[in-house]
Amino acid sequence: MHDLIYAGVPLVRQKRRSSIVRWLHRSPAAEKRPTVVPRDDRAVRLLDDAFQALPESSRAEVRARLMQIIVTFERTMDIAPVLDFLRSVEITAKLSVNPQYQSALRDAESESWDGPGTDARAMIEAANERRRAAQRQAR
Amino acid sequence: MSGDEPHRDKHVKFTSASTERLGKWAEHASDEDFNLVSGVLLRVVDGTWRSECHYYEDAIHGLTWHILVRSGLIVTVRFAKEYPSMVQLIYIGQP
Repeated sequence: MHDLIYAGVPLVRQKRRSSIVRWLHRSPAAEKRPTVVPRDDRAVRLLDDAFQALPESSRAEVRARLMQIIVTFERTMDIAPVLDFLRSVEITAKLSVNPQYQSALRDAESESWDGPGTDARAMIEAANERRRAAQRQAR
Repeated sequence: MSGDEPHRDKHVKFTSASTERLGKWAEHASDEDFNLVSGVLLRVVDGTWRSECHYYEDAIHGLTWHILVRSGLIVTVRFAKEYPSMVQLIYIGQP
């Protein structure tokens, strides 16, 4: 059942898991398609709420990726990309309402891209030096 | 994934403000977080970071990537189409 739990969070309710797991792990020889279940209005509402929580600029991309994920899953039956996608949407939605991230984004938008820039290793080394200095000061 | 990463020079550098942002964050970072984030930033410039990336949004000025670090931190970087040899570190923190 681990397929349906991601980062410790159950993705579906307990009572539904066994049937979904059976379908996910069905024999390749099993040609029978699952019966289409009645529309779950609550699930649709939850999905719609999550979609609306995304920044507007991201929705078109999320919709396009959702379509791609569905097609990929249909062809490969690999659940991992689906879980990654769900996690990605969750992260993006959280960041869009995270005041610290929004503040950092505003700062970044006003910053200049001109200048020689800094090599990654030099940047990391400078940051490490600041870290060590802060640690010494704290002692 | 749809959309293409803009053409980037082989030796990408971080903007000056990125250095200050990383340094400020590093002052309070644990050893583990600092090592993880450093590793991600190195992979951002050498182009091997895709396996760490969970989502991108095509922003007006280029591409913004949110990279999920193993410890649960998010590292957000942005590439600009107009500056193919530069990358901007925007955010390190909780999602």
